[in-house]
Amino acid sequence: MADNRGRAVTIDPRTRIFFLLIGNLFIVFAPTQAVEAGFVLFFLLAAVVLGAAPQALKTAAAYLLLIVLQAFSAGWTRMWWGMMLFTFSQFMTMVLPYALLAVILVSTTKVSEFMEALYRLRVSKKLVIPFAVMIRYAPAVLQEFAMIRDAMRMRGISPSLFGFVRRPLETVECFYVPMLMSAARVADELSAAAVARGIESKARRTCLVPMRFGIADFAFLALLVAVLVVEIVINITAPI
Amino acid sequence: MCIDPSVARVGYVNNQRKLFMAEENRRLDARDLITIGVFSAVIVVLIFVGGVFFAINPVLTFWTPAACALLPGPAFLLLAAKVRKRGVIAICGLVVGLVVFVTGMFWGIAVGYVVLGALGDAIASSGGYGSFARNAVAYILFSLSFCISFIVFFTNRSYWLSSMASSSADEAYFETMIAAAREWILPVMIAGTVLSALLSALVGRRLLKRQFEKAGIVS
Repeated sequence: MADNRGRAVTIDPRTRIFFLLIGNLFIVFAPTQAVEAGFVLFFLLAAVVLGAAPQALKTAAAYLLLIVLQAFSAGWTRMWWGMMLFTFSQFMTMVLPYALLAVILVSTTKVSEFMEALYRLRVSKKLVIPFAVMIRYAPAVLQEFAMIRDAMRMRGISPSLFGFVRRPLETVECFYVPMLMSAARVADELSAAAVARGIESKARRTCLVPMRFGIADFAFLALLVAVLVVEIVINITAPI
Repeated sequence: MCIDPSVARVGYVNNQRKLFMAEENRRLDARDLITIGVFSAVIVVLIFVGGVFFAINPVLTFWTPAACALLPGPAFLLLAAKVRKRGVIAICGLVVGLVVFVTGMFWGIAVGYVVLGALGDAIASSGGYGSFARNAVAYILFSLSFCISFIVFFTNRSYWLSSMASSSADEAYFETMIAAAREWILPVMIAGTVLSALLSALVGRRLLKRQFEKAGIVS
């Protein structure tokens, strides 16, 4: 079912995929940090419009915090900790816009919509299925890490560097065995579920969510392409 | 479908052996693709967990490839042992490369995962995915993808900087990085990555033998 709650404008999933790709290029070609911050602001606005307001707020807070940290530590770069903080905040502000784009796509697009969009873009099944499963399962892997760590503590095995140095092989086993066992089990269960739902069928896949390129999609894409062209032209004519 | 996965697999094979034996042995089916997806998720997370503390520091950044190679070995070998069909590692490399590209890393790394993944797949499949040496070579190649960024950094620095330093305020990171760069770092980095990947593969072999074969996850 199409879930349009909290979403002011419905935009085709394909448009959202293009938004991710073109947004990446925006940041790659951004000449100054002010321009980059402007793009981040634009992404945040787009996130709110697309219905990812909570994620956008969190990212905005993190971005602001990092910029403050950067400004603060810029005066202390002679000290080693100042330099570490400074380079750390720089690295994070470099990565954050890309992360924001990915978060917008993943949090506003259901896996079924995403798969349908990729199929319509003529992407091979051999890439779409693993990629969709990967996006779905990666957050669960992180949760599992935390659970395995707790379980190791309960059994008196220290999941820290110290524990690793003292008993390397045991610690490594206690970490990998549950993680890979559960991955193997999840793979089997997901396959069984997907086969039962006809993933192996040769027939064309259908999707309950209507997927159509509307005026909003064309307008949004045109805006993105126009901005990108302007940005690249400025970059070529006025090298920094 | 039976609920118990081990029973389900036996039933599946027995019921459909006559029909699908020839096709099933050669080509990746939906189950394999899903397995690749799940293990790619594990591999991606392990790559990031291993590398993140090195990547954020401009002096330690040269050891990111070795750190990224250290953790995913067992997952990689288990994936190869579980699926055992041509294309497993190539598709895994494609998925990982796509993630790397989308998260804004140097584009050469993404290309590396795709190309070296395909190359590693050819090597591993020549041993039927059953030879530890060939699988380990495939994993080492796969892990070397991360070095490509630094190979470009050392051989064509102006290009690397122009594609990485998007905004002028990021300069301190790169200045520190250039100041920390020495000529000997590149060969040591590649050797370190190979060693780290090999160590990870050895741990993986031990785990496969001691745990997963006994548990019936792989044969």
